[in-house]
Amino acid sequence: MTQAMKIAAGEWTYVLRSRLAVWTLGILVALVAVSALNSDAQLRAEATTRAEYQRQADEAYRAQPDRHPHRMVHYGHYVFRTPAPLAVLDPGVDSFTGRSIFLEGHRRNTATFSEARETSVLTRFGSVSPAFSLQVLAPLLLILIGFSSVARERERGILLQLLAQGTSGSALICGKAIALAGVAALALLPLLVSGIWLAITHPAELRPLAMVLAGHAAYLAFWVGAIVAVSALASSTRSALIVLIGAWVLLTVLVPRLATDVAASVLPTPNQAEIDIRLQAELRAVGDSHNINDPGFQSFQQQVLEQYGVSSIEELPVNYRGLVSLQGEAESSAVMDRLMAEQHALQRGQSGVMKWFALVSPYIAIRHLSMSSAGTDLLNHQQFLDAAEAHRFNLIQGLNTIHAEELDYADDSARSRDQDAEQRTRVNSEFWSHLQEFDFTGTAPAQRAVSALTLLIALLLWLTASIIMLRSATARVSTL
Amino acid sequence: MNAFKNFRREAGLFLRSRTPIAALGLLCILVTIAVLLGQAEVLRQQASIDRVQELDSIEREAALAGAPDFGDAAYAAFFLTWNPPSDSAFLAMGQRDISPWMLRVRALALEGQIHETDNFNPELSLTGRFDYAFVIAFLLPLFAIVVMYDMVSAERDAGRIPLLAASVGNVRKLWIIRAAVRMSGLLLACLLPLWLIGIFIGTSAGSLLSVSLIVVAALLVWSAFILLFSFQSWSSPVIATSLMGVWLMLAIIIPLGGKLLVDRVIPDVDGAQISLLQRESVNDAWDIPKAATMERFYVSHPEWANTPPVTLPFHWKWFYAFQQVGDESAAELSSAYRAAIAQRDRLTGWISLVSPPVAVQRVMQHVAGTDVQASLAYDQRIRAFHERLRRYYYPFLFNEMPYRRELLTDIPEFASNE
Amino acid sequence: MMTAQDATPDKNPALIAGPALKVSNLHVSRNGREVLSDLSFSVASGEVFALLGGNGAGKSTTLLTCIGLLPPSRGDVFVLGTSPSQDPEVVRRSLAYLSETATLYEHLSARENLRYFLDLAGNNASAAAIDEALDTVGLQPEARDQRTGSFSKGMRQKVAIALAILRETPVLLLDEPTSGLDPVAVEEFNQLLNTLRNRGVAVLMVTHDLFGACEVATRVGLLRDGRLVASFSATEDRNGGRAHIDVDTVRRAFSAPEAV
Repeated sequence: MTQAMKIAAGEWTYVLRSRLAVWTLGILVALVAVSALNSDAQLRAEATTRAEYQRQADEAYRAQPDRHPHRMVHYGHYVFRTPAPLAVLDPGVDSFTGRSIFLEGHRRNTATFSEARETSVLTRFGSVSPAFSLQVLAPLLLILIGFSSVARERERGILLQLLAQGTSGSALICGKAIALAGVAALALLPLLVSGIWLAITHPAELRPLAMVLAGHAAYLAFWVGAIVAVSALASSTRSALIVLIGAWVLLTVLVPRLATDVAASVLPTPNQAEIDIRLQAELRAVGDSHNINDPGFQSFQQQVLEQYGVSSIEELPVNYRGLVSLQGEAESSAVMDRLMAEQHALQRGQSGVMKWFALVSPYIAIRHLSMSSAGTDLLNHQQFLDAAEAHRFNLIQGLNTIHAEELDYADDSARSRDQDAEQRTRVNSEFWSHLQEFDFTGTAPAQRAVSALTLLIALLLWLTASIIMLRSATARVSTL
Repeated sequence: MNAFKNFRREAGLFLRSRTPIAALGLLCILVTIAVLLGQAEVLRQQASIDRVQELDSIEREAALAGAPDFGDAAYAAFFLTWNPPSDSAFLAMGQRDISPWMLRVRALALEGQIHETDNFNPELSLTGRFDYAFVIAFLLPLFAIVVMYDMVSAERDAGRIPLLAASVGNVRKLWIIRAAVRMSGLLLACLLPLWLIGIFIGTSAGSLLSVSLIVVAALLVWSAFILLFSFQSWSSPVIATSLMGVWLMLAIIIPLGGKLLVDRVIPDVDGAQISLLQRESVNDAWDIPKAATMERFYVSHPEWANTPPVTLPFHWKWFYAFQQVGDESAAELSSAYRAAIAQRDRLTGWISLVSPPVAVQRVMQHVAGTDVQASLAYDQRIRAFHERLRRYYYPFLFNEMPYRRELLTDIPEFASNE
Repeated sequence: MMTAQDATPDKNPALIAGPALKVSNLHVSRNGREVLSDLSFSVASGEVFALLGGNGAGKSTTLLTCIGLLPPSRGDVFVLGTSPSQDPEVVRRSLAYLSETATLYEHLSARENLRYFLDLAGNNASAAAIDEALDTVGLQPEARDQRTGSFSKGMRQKVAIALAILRETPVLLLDEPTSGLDPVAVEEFNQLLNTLRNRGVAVLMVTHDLFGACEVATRVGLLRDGRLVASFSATEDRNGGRAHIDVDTVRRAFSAPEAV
């Protein structure tokens, strides 16, 4: 082991004395640190803006004057997504998803205004984030620092000399790997620092944080092993470099894009327009809840009359129009939820196809591990959409209940023609102040960490593969 | 005369070397895959548009058939707008997996409809597609580096330069011929599959030619970098690592830095504000005197100013008037939003001057009609169509005509080349 | 057959009086250090001049300057009256160069290598001529279509020598030509060199092999720290046999601390 440490120390001296390597190292650490600081600043600003918008929207809602409750159903409400705390480390899909949703009656809106639209050509290759720096750039920079670690010694005949004076092949390979691992650890340092900071400010996120760190450590360890092994197995420094850069391009640039295309081809998703048309056709069967005589509500009317033991809707103790609104919203929501669940499942299926590529590229494994631990993946976005939908449903049904209980049926029916009746259908604005706050938390942090376990296993498989490569490299070095 | 002989001699030598030829073969395969995947996506999009067009007209017919009056008809009838992929869209997916290329609108306030996002899987958008533009922008330089970086240093490492000099006389001329051979190989690998498949699927020669020019330009720029480095008296690995550093800088770091710059220089107008404003304006209408809304509407639509005032608590003409007033009140913010997008896009254009990969992507997206401008143009077409649509309904609503489906015979239809 | 000499029609041989290769007061610096200082010698047609020196004496530098790959800081070199620093292309057409480690393309066969380098030099030697040259250097026929990557050092050297012969240039520059050759091949090479000399080729070889140099050269120069410190000419053998330089004389001069 001491032999290995001496080799490692020698390699460090080499790295520190070679200007190219020092520059590379500096760039690597700076990239991770700068991107962490930048995302931190950006997310803080974003969180403040979103919270402010949410406050404004809540205030606007609560400040509405006396009104007919169905007017409030159409006035609706806005909810905003605030970034997950770990988005500082990995923003994931955040810039590709809409950030606000308009909640209104009868409709389940999509999230609007994604950030990616305006500058996508600049950010298609990656984001300014610690995750991107560590997952894509760090391996490349490690390659540039480490490709020659063993090949160089072989080319200059030092390898022969070392073996002749009794250094073992395994000590040599271990030493080189330890030295490169030291460089990788340096790159991980900013992540560790921001991780500790996040753990202090958000203690609940401890387990996913540990997962993110462990994942990145395993991922970089894979690269360290692979780089040293290829350097030892290659016939020359030049071919080591070419093989390693080729592997980097394949694993981090090519495979992800191919995986995207495969996923989109295997499980094509319909466009929103197509989904909307299907939805409308199904909703027509439910009926228009604005029109109490809609054939879709005939049996409902019968049922209500029986339930209250009266013979006409005018005799009901509640406003029948409100009841229809309640019923209509419940039925249409059920249809919308079913269709959206289908779409969500389809998209998760696409992401599932992508995730299988974790067995082809460790980059896919770490990317999804990091996104899902951080709570910035597709699943989390879908949960936000579902939470917003649940919030919408409660809000609208609350208003419909007011509509049913607080309004007089006769006034309500006459309100389009009779100004006085219209005035009487306006309920006290007091009701609007009962607005519930939208509170989206997503998957519990511990749960997120657990769900990333399979990806961690995939990464460990990759790590095992690189250790096996290191072993054959040791054999190769020992026998020349 | 001699040039051809020299070229053939060097091409013969190059064709016998294994690694570069394998690299060119791989590049050729990747280009083919990219073009085929791009075309498959275009066909999928085209099929999707065709299918939805049909569904849309059936659905609209059902909506119109069941309507009790014109107001309801206009409320219920959605119209599909679409932005078809051009004959060269397969080259670059561009905006087409981020911004919608199909959107259904109706005669209600447009600002509440036009900002909808499509059903794109964000995890797929995050990675981007494997299209031709990607191959040329990011992979071609890497392949060029592999094929050319040690053109000189390998000869030097092998100690062959004196022999070459003693044989050829002018070594510099030899390097130029060799670079030309390698560049021709790269060009052939990039263009041959493109032209073959492009001609087969009927891409216009103009598009193919302009794309070929982009490829040539990109190759020239990168070759200049590579030759500049490969003529240095450094060892092969140092040249290769330095060139990788240049690639990293131009392909990744500068674009990301550019993104930070764009964010700082032109802060994006928050889209959420537009819909908030529009919604407040639309909803205020219910609480202010109807005459006030109508006054504002008549300013931009004086032709209806002489219709009778609205006296009932609800009237469709008032309903559609306040929808339009809602749009008008958000118009300023909305155009500021689009202006900001266009401005950010222009600044991105300036950044592309220092990043060949960004430039390649932008120009290819422009040729393919999938860039930000094309997406904004589609936005304009939707706006124009929406205007035609609502103006079509106004006579029925303001003249308070009794509803008959047969009267709605010449409803405007969206035309994608509007 | 068009020879390299024919390729320089503007050089009238009659005008080139004197030696085929002339080095006069040559100073060359590499990386700021003067490697050759005030080096002068000349090689006439039909002469084999061996420049003998230890490591770092400036042997390879002399050859690279003759090819025009290194510029002189003072003095000059003339190959058939032309300076390589003035017109390297003309000079290079009239000389062939053999490097210490035969620098062939490993992915090409022996024949392909010859064909390629001859094409480079604008020399369209026939396949028969190539075979004849390979016969002369003694490369086995079965090896001629194999990739030179699998060749031993000696075999590669033979191919390189064949190339130098095929160029048919009036001047031949040799860098350690016999290193890596087995004794039989060395003997064959020496005979080959005699043949070329008899044809009137001017040969400049640099070597650290004292015995080899004395064996084959008509003149030996001692190079030390970039200066020519002594030179010896072959004298006719008393029996009228081959001219040889006395090895002992040269060795004494070579090991003397400051021989003049």
